[in-house]
Amino acid sequence: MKRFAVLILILVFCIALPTACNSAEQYFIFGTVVQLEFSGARLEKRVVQRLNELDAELSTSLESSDIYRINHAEANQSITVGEDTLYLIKLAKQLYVDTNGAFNPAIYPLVELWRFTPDTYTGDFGMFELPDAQTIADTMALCNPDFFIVDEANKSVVKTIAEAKLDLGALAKGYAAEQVANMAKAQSGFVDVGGNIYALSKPIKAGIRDPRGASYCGTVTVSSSITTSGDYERYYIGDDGTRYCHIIDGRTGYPADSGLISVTVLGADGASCDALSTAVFVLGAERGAELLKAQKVSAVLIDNDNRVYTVSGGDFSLSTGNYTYAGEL
Amino acid sequence: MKTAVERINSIRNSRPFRWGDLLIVVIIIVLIALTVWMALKPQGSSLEIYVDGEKKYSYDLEQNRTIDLFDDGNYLIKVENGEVSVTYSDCENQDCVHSAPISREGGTIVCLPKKVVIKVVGEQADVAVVT
Repeated sequence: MKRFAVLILILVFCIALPTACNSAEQYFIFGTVVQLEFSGARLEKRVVQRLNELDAELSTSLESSDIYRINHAEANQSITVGEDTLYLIKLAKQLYVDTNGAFNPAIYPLVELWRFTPDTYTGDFGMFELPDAQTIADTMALCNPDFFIVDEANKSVVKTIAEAKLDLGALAKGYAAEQVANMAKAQSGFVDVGGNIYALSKPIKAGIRDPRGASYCGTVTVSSSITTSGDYERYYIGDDGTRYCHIIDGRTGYPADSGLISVTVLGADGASCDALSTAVFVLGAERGAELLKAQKVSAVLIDNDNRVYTVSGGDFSLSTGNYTYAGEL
Repeated sequence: MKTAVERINSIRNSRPFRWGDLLIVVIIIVLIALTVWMALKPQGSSLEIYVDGEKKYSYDLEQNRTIDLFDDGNYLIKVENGEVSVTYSDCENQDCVHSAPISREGGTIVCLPKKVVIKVVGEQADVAVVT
């Protein structure tokens, strides 16, 4: 009888084992899909709580968030902000300088004009009238990070013109991924905040999304942060077939048109990788590669001729025949 | 007092290993082998649909069908010849409807307004995650 019981137990174990290897837990935070792949329910709860806290500070749409309060403040009105907001605004202003304006955290008025904010984006070009050159020029004049003055001693931010607005969306998710990865770094697995991925204790193999397909087009081993900016996430297709992507070039006021369609950046700092992927997408392959080398990070770039370039590309390998590897930059 | 021969016979008669035991060992080995095979065999592609982080449905990708996700006609997913696409959604931004169809190689369609994630767990699932 005992033997029979043991046999049943083994049978249950055998059936349960393969089905227990489930996929990562999913959450909707930061207006995107968050995947958490590590073990420990209590740790997961703390991680989700931290992500919600960060979202509550950094969201452009939550009325109580630091960013929302800054964006809706009057000129010279002092807004007290949290540590994360303070750190990220300082980092974003520095990255604006380092990238010669290719990454611009003050670009929100242009993002609104081009209807790429969560409340204005429709994806339907038929409902969309292209902004005229004068409106673009006038809006560009509002998009300067120097309008935001950080007071570290009082943990507050003041803006010098009321119309200036911040959007930390291009580095907040990378920052969030790294922050919670640090909480879980004893585990193996990864955290994924809307494609901003951070590997935990062991390197993982990540796929780079095929910018013109549904699966991935190449793979690379990641030991810390990996993040991708592409023209395939939010975009409008004009009547003449022109693609207007959500990444706006703050130097021209128009959607980025550098010839790149996907930029993946790998490095240790989640927030910087996130911002650099945007900056390189705006700059294009050649100037982007110079920036990536100066920042000592790796990257995989895909251009609109389906050519794939790497910068310190590690073990990157292509996995479809739709693209051609064109070497190291 | 037993003789030496009697003692040997007694040990032989009470030997710990019987044919029944061998049968159980064989069954255990077969089950372990089965487990390893099930865990490591190349998985056929399947379609998984998550709503608000919960896995709601899992379908065979090879069978053509139209899925009315919320039973109200406002979210329709088509599975045809191994390809999955969202044919209709009443969401604000239509990202899911504009997404490229996903197929056997894997891939994901996300609808943020509806909190829907449609995923093909593909044959070439040799990556942990896709960025």
